[in-house]
Amino acid sequence: MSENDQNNTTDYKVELDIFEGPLDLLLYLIRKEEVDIYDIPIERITTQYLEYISMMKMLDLNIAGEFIVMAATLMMIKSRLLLPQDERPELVDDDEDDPRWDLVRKLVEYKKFKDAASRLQQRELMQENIFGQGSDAMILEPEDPGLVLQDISLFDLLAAFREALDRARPEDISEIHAERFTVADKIAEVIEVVRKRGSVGFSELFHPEASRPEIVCTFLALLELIRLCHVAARQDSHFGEIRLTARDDMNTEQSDAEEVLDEHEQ
Amino acid sequence: MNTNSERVASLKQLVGGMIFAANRPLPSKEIRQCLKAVAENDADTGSVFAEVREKEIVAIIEELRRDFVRLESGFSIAEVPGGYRLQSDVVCGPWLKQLLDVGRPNRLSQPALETLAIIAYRQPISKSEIESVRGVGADHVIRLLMEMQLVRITGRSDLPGRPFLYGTTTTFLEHFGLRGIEDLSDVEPALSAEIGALRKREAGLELKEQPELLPDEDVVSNIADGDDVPQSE
Repeated sequence: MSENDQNNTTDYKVELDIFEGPLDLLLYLIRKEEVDIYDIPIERITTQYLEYISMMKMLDLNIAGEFIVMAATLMMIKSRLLLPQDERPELVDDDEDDPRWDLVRKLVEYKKFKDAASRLQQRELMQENIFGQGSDAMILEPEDPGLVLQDISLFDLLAAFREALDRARPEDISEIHAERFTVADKIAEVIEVVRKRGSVGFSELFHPEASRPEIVCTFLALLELIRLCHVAARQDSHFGEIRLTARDDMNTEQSDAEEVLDEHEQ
Repeated sequence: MNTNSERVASLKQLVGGMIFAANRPLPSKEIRQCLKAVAENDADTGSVFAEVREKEIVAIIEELRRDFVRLESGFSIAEVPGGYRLQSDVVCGPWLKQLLDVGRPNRLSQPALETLAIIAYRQPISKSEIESVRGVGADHVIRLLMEMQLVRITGRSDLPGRPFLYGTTTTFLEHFGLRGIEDLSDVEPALSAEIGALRKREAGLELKEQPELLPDEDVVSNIADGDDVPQSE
């Protein structure tokens, strides 16, 4: 591999747009922590929320400004809750006793549409199996890559990522070595594993000896492969183990890793 | 000339035959018109069915549907946007997909589905209203939904800046197997009040003739046109 190629592969940047918003993340955490939406433990949820934000930053994902605004809102609510009620500074149009109320109302409203969305999804799956007279098969344009984290939410992936990080070998500060892992290498590696075994558990991609930089690279590689529809991520139960499978159309003769890298160049 | 003049087909046969032969969604109204036209042209064969009402046709279709289900014929009659059609049973899906060589199905992502749900239940709705429900920008997702023709611009709001208003399309109804927007209240009962409000807004617009099925293209585009008049100076 020439010097030039080497540079190309180290510079590989995963550009994943996030279409999930801060309310998504909050609802995800509320469900994961099994807490009451009407009585959110702000302290706990805020801590977790910030953890996810910092993970997204660590991965260099393009997170929307709204995530930061929500972080500020959460911290504001938290600080107001700490004050006795009669000492809380007046807020404009604040007629609620509970500073969480405004947020709760938004979450509850949003959740209704989220539920409607999953009902629609069930119908979509059912319709796939119905063929009618005089109607061509659905002609929806091919999906925009980047919008296809469909079988699983980004936050489920991030939760699994966090577990992998927690298991990571503690960093050895006495030794500093050059970066040995690149996203491009990891893409090739993940493709090979998934292809050979058909279906792989998320945690199996991260061997116990993996260091944090290696875990980050592997995870970014995985996100990219999901984004480009080369790998499907599924979860059989809420918060269960994520399984990765090769997509049906991933059996071309050409090396898939090369293909992915080519696509990225364009 | 032929023996048919003595043994006239039953209404059930006729309705079934029409739905089969139409090879497209057939509205009950059109079935009635057809019965009437034959009665006028050929009093011998058709006169019996000259006065059949739409209600009876709908009842006969339901009877046919039950017959198909009982027979396990593999297909049945279903109401879709635009009328009744024959369609295969859901349980046959996996085999039919193989037979017809259907590729990877197009499924929508969560953010796309959520945005679509907000538009469906709150239409006509502006982008900023959609964004305030989801708490995040919606530009890209709306553009994608419009490319897939699940969503369209139905008019403009009177608010400052006259932002576009979005609504769902017939393709949307077909994609999710809905007969009309009303079916959405069964999809998510917690949001059925939204559908009620939607119906009221529509009633307020004094649409000339509102068929049982919801906004067909003309009606919606009329609203859009009407809305655009003052602005096109």
